[in-house]
Amino acid sequence: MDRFLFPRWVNRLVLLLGGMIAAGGVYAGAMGGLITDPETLNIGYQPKQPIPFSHAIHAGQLKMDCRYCHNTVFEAAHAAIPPTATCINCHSPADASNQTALSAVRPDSPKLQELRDSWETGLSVSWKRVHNLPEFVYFNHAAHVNSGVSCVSCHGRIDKMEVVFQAKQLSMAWCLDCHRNPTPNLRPIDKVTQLDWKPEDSPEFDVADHVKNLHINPQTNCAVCHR
Amino acid sequence: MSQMNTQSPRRYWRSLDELQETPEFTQFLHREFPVAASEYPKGVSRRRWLQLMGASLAMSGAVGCRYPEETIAPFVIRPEGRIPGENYSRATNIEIAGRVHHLMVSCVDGRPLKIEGNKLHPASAGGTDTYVQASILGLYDPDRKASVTMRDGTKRRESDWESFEKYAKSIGQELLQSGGRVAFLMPPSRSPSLVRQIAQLRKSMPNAKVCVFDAVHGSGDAAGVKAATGLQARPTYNVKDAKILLTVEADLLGNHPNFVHNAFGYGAGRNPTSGEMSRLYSVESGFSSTGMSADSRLPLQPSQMTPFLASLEAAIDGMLSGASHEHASDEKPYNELSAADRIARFTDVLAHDLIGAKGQSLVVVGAHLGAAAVSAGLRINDKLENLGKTVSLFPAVDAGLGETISLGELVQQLEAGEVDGLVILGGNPVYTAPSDYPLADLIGRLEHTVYLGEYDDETAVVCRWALPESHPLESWGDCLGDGGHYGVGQPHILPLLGGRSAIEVLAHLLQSDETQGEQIVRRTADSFAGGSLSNRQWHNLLRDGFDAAIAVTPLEASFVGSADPLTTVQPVALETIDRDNIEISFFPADGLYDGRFANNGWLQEMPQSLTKLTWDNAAVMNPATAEALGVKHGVMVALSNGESTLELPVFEIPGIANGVVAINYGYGRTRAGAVGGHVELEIDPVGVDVRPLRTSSAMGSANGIQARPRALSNYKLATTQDHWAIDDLGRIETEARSYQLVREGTKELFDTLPNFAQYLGVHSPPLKSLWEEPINTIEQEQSSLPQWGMSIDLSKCIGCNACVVACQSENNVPIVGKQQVLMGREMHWLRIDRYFQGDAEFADVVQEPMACQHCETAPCEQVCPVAATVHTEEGINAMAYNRCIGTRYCANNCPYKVRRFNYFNWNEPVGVGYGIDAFEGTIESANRKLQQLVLNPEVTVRGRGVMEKCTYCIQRVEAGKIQARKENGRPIADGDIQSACQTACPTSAIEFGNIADKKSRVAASRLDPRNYALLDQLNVSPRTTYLARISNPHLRLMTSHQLADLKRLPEMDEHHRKHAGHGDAHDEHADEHSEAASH
Repeated sequence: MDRFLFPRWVNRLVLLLGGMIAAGGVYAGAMGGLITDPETLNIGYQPKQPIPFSHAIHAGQLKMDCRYCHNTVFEAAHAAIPPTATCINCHSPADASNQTALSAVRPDSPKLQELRDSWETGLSVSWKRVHNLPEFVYFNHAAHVNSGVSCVSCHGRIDKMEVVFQAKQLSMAWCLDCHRNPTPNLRPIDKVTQLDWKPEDSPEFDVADHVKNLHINPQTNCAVCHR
Repeated sequence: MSQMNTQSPRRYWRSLDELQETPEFTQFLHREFPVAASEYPKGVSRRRWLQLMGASLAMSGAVGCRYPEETIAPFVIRPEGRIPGENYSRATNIEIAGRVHHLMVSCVDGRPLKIEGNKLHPASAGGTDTYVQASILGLYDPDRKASVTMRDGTKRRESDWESFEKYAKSIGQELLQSGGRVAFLMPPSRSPSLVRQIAQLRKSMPNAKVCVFDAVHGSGDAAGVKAATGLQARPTYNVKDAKILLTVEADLLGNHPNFVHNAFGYGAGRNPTSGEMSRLYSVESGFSSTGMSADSRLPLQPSQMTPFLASLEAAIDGMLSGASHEHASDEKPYNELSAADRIARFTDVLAHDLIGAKGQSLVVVGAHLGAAAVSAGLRINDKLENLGKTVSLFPAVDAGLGETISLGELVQQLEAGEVDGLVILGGNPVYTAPSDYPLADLIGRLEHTVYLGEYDDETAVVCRWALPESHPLESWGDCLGDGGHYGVGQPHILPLLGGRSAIEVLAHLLQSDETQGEQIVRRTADSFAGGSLSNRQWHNLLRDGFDAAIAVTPLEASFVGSADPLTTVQPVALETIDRDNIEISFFPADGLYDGRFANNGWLQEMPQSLTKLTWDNAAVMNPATAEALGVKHGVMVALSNGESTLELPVFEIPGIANGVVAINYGYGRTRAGAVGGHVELEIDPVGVDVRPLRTSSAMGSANGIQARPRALSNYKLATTQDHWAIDDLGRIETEARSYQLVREGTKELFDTLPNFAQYLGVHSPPLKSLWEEPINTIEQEQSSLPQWGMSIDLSKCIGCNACVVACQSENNVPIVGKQQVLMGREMHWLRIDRYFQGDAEFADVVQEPMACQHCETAPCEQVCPVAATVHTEEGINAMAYNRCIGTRYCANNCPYKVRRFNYFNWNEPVGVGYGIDAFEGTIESANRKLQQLVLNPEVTVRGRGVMEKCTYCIQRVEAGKIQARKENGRPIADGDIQSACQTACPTSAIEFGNIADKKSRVAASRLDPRNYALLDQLNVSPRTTYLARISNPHLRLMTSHQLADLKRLPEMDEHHRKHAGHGDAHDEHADEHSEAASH
């Protein structure tokens, strides 16, 4: 029997296959890197919330201060999500005789049904968490806002968002950028919640003095965030 | 270089195994972990293991790249002042295991999380103990009784509180009409509200009987005080003011009901540097915490205690009436005397010392020696003019109960059918009562029995009604503290499992209008304050936990009892041990008390203070006794009183009196729960129930016991003592060096040579690194940064373990179970090392708390391939768990062996595993979920394969820094940040703070002449330093080692100073040094 000989084109096929495998590896590597990059994974995360609460209306148009709702931000690790009662202050539902206990802004809007249900049943509104750090990270809001780091530095222009989405990476490298050089993100403490603040708005503010007076010295060791 | 001190006459050893070089100990020395890490868990084959691992890998792939979606559920109406996620503290006062605790409970989001002492309280100054530290785990124990159960004939069924109330009402009427022959059985209580209610109940039922039964301390104290002074009073000892203390079979610093108050006083009296130095004598049969702290200790059989006390009194009488007190000036050292001579000299010196400190001395006699002995103790105190000074008698709370009967009398009445109904208010008497009382049968025979208890235990199952009792942290209550302060206990959380407190149940029995705990307690508080408290006063009382004005004052007391001597028998030293006449001393287990904490894993796994034994009790005896009985460590011994026999593993330890077997009770529970054993659920009991020998006449000690060896098979005792061999260069080197680790000296030595501790270390050339250490650069360049450090005063440490449990509670440290402890895999971040000194016949104990030393040049950091353990700028050796890949190089390179490795996902059963589906949808896991609430949210729950260790409570450090930041970035003040072990310590032995702040207490401690660093010759510069232990024995009671040190060390000092300034020319003197030392 004749010996089997590979046809000539096999040489080229082998070369081609080799090339494809190599390219595939590069592609997979690149895609893997890009897909798992915090830039891709985290930014733009926008879960659907049970109530279509618009920060753009409340914080943007109505210019409500962030702390009207997130009132624990200067004292606590968490800038607490407000209790239903805070919403009810303005969106008080009407009772049987069509009277409202407090201000009645759109008391019967169907979009606020979940809110009214919560108020009546005593069960929480199930908000979806947008900004979520891994559980081994111990971020503290109070430590940051009391140093003059604004909400906008990490959350972006919330006052322009209809539905809140994650605007920044919130990755460790991104945190460290600021911990290594905090000055670009510092402002007077009373301007922390003013999201459209520009350095020109407070000409008397001297960031070097601010750092010195408040002993701002962010550390970059592991234990600062990981305990 | 290090030759010099190896000639020390002192020799320390960790266990008899080490002293005798057994193969087991050699194995401990030669293996990093006693059992290799690569061994698979028992019962899992390699193939199955790989399958499991493969499955979990596949699962983790499917989880996806983003964190799982989380829901935030805010309040509907947030309580005023509540900040979600932040800590807050509330004062409370609770009675646990017969002790009153004044607390500031730290809570997060409405759940109590960590027990802290109330620093402002004058009676305790913030001290705590193991029981109360671990009570937080008890609160979240899913095995607690969750519903009312009712027995119909032989069948038990679930019921509810309403049915019980109906029953109580109808039966109450019925019993009243038939003569009200009701009995109440309760453990002793220090709650004025409870006592007031029972007194009220007795008014409507004049025939009712009240029986108070204390399974641990008996009634000796109350009866003794009554006999001596005619008062119904409770003694409180002002340990702080006492210069000379004597305890006779009384564990003042151990199981004593006033432990926290005593320990606080003891710590305050042990400051050699400032000159405050008490002297503690201890006479005991076992080896208690008090004995370990004692300056001079005399082991004696329980039967010799009364003769000893009588002979001491005779000696005191003699000296008081001017008898001469003479002795030769060139006596032999105390340890070289014969046993009989030791007793004589001890008594002589003691009597002399006690008289010398008239009005400032203190004699405490253990309640188990009986009323006559306690009364004689008070008589001695009276002769020494101590009454009203170091001994205060506070009115007893339970005096308000009126006439009470003993358990024996109750049993008689039950047998005679004189009782129609029995109400048991906790205490699990079926388990704790003496074994010759057939309590379970008698209760079973009664028609109407009600039991209120936290668990569905041995007593609950025989009673007709078993009611769930709420935890002290869930209910209103009150108690009278050791200092006479009235304290209110306020609930920190609503009853998790629907329980009610005793006062609420009694209110229902009383058919009272006041059924709310708060109303009942406030009514009592009003009567204590001598009028109605205003709302403002009430709220202040709740906020502060005490009010100096709402307290009782000590009674005026003088001795009015009999003046007859206790006995005329002289104490004799036991020379030959008769195996048919062995004496047993019973002690409550270090962690379990009378067995009530058997289902608390933290306490089961807590190494007991002397034996370091976990998850077991044993027949503890000294080597001479073991030899006489023909047994050895780890084999079973049978103990018999003629009627019943008990088999226990032998634990040899020096220092126990000859012919005495010391046994802890509280083990062998058959209905404790998933941790402590539950026979019905096929969970084996933990340890051995010793009740067969603990009869009504032998609650404290038994004599005439026959002891015989049983099968020579080895029983595995899970001790933590030999696991972490600190140096593997060989046993001789270890022994020769260990005195460098625990440095101690006598007060005489300290007075002559304050810095003697330096001479006990290794004589090394100046310690310098080859390069500038980064931490030193930081210290210089950023001088405003705090630098954290810790100082532990070994003179104050009594080895009570409160710090160990506090650390476990604060840092989410898991328990691992007996099997894993046997493999050396216990997880405690903080352990208490104990070393024996002397020989097997005459041994002394030194204890040393040991956790990560936070070396400035940490050896662990240099070998971590992934930089998972790194230094902070503030000198803390931090662990980044999420980086750790589990090579365990760091543990190998740690000279202190303080690192702990997670061989398994210990916390998984609790419900916090890695990954998102930690909970299965079963009721079982939903139930276990309750336990998850005990975890501190500020500390990462570590998963499998990760190394961990003490972090100096980094979460508290960071919280302190953030608090300062909130206050305009002010600098951190001394005392702002306290570690969990520091706040728990009842003797204030631990200081933590900023060593760069020269005014801080920790910096001051480091300047103390006693200050030394462990293994400092390695140039690791640990941030934790120790203050050498100073003992204060009388010169005539010093051992030959202590006398030798007194001579040797000042000579070394002189020699050293002669050569002062030789600096680098050290090497030349090496030979000279070793020569000098060998003289």
